[in-house]
Amino acid sequence: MKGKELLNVALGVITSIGGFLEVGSMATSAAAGADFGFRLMWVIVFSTLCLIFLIEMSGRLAAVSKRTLVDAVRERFGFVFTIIPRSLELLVNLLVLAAEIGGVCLALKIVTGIPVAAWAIPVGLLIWIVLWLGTLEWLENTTAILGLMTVAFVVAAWKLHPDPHEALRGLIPHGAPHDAARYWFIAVSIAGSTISPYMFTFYSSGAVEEEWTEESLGANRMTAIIGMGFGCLMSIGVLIVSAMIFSPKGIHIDSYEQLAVVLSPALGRWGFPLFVGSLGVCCFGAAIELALSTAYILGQTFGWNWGENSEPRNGARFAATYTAIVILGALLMCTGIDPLKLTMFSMALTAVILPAVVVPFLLLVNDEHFVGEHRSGWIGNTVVVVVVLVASVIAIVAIPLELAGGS
Amino acid sequence: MELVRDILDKQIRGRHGEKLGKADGIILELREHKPPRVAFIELGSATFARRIGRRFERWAVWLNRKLHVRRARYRIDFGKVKDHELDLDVDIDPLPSPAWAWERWTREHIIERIPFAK
Repeated sequence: MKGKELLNVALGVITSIGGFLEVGSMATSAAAGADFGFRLMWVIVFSTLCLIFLIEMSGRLAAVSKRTLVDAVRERFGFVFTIIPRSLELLVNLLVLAAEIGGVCLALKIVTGIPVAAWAIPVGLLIWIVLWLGTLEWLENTTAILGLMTVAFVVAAWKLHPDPHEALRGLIPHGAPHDAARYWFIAVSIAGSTISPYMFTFYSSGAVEEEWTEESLGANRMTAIIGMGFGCLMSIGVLIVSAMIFSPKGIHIDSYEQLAVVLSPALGRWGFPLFVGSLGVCCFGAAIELALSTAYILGQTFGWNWGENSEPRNGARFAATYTAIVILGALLMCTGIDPLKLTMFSMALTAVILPAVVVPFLLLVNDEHFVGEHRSGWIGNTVVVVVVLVASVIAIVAIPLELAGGS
Repeated sequence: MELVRDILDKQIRGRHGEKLGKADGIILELREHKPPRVAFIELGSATFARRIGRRFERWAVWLNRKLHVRRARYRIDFGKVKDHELDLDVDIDPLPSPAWAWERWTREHIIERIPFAK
């Protein structure tokens, strides 16, 4: 691998690590740690394993077929099939975007005391300005490098000295110790926050926009494995810190404000600014990815000019779409909706739509017409089948669980 | 060439690579004592709405008539298709083309009125 390729891989890995943690992962991991100690850690690991395969597949599909996931699905399955997963994805994207805007607003509220609803429009405007003026590479690298401050959670987890045996036991799948409805609701929310469909759309669109070729497959694989693998550590860090701080005192997470001091016992006076910074930067980065992902979905479904690297006037409908979705997301947060409840609901809803988005993966990455000789191996196929089955179960149980045990 | 696999739902690109839309429909010409031939590629909201159902098609036609921006359907002569390997490359200038009416409208009425759009 040449120097420039290595640099690209390194940047890709940094992007993945920095972009992994967002409001959904943070909220679900913290809730898991507070309510069930280390016992839900296995869900993070299992979901990340699925995510690694799916991200690798979407990158491979884009690099070999030169088509984005959305393009390929429409071409292979037709318009009528396409509108089902894409409509679901658009709805979920809007809710998750609102939750991410809410995350940034919360970070600002924790610092200033000014209510979330008052920050929604200024934050939405800032997100839009960055989208309007930035290029894809600049956006990815800047937010991801800033997002590396989430490493603070791993450092804090290390400094809190968790019992290694108990932590390792958390990696083994097992049932609920108590409050089964709550346990499984948080489990499906973790899966929904980790295996986010917008990430596949964003990743494959980025790959096409950056003109990946078959030579990029090695870098794609490394980015998926190392980037997502390290990203998973951030989520585990949040869970461990939450488990060590909140679980022994029997504190349940009812609001993000409770999390503000979660890093302080381990990191002292740096804990508070690092938490606020992590929350703000990660949610800001995820909001940008979500807005772009929504514009990619519409642009690619209907065949418009699209691309974050081109000027807004050269992709007028694309730019109008991300503008509209950011306005809608900000307005949703202006209504005073509880960001934590919206996040948990959005994550469960994400789990519901997973089968509709993931099923086409298996067929596309095994279709010679699209990926030629680079079809998925049996391991990848098996994992995707497992994802589909688990996601189906998640979809069936998520909503009743939310009604029974969700916050 | 397999029409559904190689033409339908593919990206249509204009003369300089601009994205014009997707091949929402294919129009065949039936000829006496000869096999049918592909006459046009059709794109537009009425065409893809028809694939969902007739009612959706009527709504799309009605909406387009109200909005006065573009016809509900637009046809491209199949003879203008230069290549169909990855995308459907057609010999059409998108700027004056009805296929780009919404793109032009959005650009002129919304995007170009915002600073730093260029």
